[in-house]
Amino acid sequence: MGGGEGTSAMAGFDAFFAREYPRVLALTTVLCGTRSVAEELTQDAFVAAFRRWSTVASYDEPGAWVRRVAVNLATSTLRRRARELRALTRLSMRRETLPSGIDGDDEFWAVVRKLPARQAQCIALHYVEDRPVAAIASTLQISESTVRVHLHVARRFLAEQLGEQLEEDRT
Amino acid sequence: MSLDQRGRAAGAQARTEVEGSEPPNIRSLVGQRNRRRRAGWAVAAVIVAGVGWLGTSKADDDRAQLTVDGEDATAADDTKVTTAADRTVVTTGELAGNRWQLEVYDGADGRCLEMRYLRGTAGGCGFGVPPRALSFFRWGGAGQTALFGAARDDVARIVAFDADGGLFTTTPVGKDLGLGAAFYVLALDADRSISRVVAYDENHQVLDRFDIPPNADLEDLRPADPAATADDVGPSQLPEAAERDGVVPEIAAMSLEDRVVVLAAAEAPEGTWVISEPGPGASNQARDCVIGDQSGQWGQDWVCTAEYGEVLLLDDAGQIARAYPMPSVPPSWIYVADDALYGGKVGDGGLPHNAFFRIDRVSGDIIVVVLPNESESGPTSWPTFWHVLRDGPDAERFAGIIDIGPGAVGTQTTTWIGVVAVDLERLRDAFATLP
Repeated sequence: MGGGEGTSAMAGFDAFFAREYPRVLALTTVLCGTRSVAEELTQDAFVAAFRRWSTVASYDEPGAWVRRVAVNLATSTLRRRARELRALTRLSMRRETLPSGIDGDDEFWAVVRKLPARQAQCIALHYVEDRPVAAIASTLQISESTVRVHLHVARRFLAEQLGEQLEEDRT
Repeated sequence: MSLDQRGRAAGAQARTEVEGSEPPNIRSLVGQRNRRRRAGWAVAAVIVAGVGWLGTSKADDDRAQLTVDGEDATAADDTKVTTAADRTVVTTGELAGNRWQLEVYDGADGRCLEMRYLRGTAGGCGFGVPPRALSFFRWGGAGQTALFGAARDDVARIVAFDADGGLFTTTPVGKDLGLGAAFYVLALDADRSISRVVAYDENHQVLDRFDIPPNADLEDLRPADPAATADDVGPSQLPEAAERDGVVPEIAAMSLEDRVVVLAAAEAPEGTWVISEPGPGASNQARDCVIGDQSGQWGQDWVCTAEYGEVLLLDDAGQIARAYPMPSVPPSWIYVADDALYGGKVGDGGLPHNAFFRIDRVSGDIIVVVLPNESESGPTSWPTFWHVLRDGPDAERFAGIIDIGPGAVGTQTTTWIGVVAVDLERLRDAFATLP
């Protein structure tokens, strides 16, 4: 790749980064519950994209790739915690002990963070990004039917926990 | 307000709160991460090399012997330990009679940590706390081992495990020094092969962990992928155990991290019973949700991760003692009764089949009953040893045993779907009368 092409490619990254960073940050913030940690995770995801931009840029949806990395990072802490809780302290899961860094409807997101990782990811992509099922499936590289299952189960749990009425699934 | 309305409003709020967030300078970030990686992993390799010098230096051996023989605090001066004015000594101690001290200073690469011992120094900059709960440097040689690093504010205790089962613990210090972190040193008067370092909070919750393979090249500890975690090591179950339990080999070969996301857990004298589903790592390994050999038999040779769940009995070490695959009927609830573990799947819109199971807590034998929802597509066959009840008196005996939602009447179960109560006596009878 010549220098001119490289410059152009990285200019493409800069535009991608400026456009997507706040959106991905919103996702990781609701998933991990702490703004400072979310910023770190989001930056890690974009640094990963930067390092392999020549490959990521060739994907149909570079934004989906960086979201997938970011939401996996955001939920892996929860998975580690769950695993350690059962293995080493022999206590039930206490994922709700994560501190919150969100000023908005924190109760809603706190309950989302109690969901299994994949369900939480689907819910975050659905409500934060208003993504349809097909786009969520593409982002997470799972089938649309799987996304529907996750959304269905997660919504029912959320409705029960939050005392809200569960509408008919419109996705 | 409906759930959907509330969710969309919460999503809009989340977007609004980050609007205007200026993206950081990506090139600066890449530089920081590179330095962090060097500090976390590559620099540690340099540390070992440096300590190797300590271990082979006759002069240092002599010095160590001298101090062991009776040098007191002034021995630190003998070892030429000096501290610049802009450095903060956060803690000191003694190892094999030699004083060591841990210092923090601001360098060109950010805030740095350095341990001084004898004439050697070890450490790194940009130690990454937070987001991780710990930074971790290993230092070994001259018959001694030291682990040290920075600790996040919420870390209350750090425990290192060695390969022989030894356990070493310490508490962070220096939290009140205003250096953005606390610090710790585990100085071990032996050349220990440390296999794991774990950070706990004050409620004994695990905050972070480093697993260290035996004889690992420290470069190997670097996560291979940004989505990976440091504890993705080893199969979750050995092949013989997987065959005994009827687990798809490819599922057993996954790490615990990939295979197990705990949805609910219940304690019992024999271990911890959990309901689990595959993690994102498993989904990433699947091809269109399929794990295993699709030319074989469903449920035995392959499963769909999206519809797969397990009941696991975990031992004290958190390893799988027994596994009970539940393809297409991932369990919703469990209950530890005197005679058995009972559980089941409450059918829903996505996975509509209902199921119940009973696991004898002594023999480990399982009985599974499936009540298929015939209006839905699903498996054309079920595992041969399951009882598939479509109608008749046996099926009727399982009807109405479960009550769900707030106000559910019956014995409260351990569940991840809200509230599930069970009529335990009827459930016992229903199983007892199966042919």
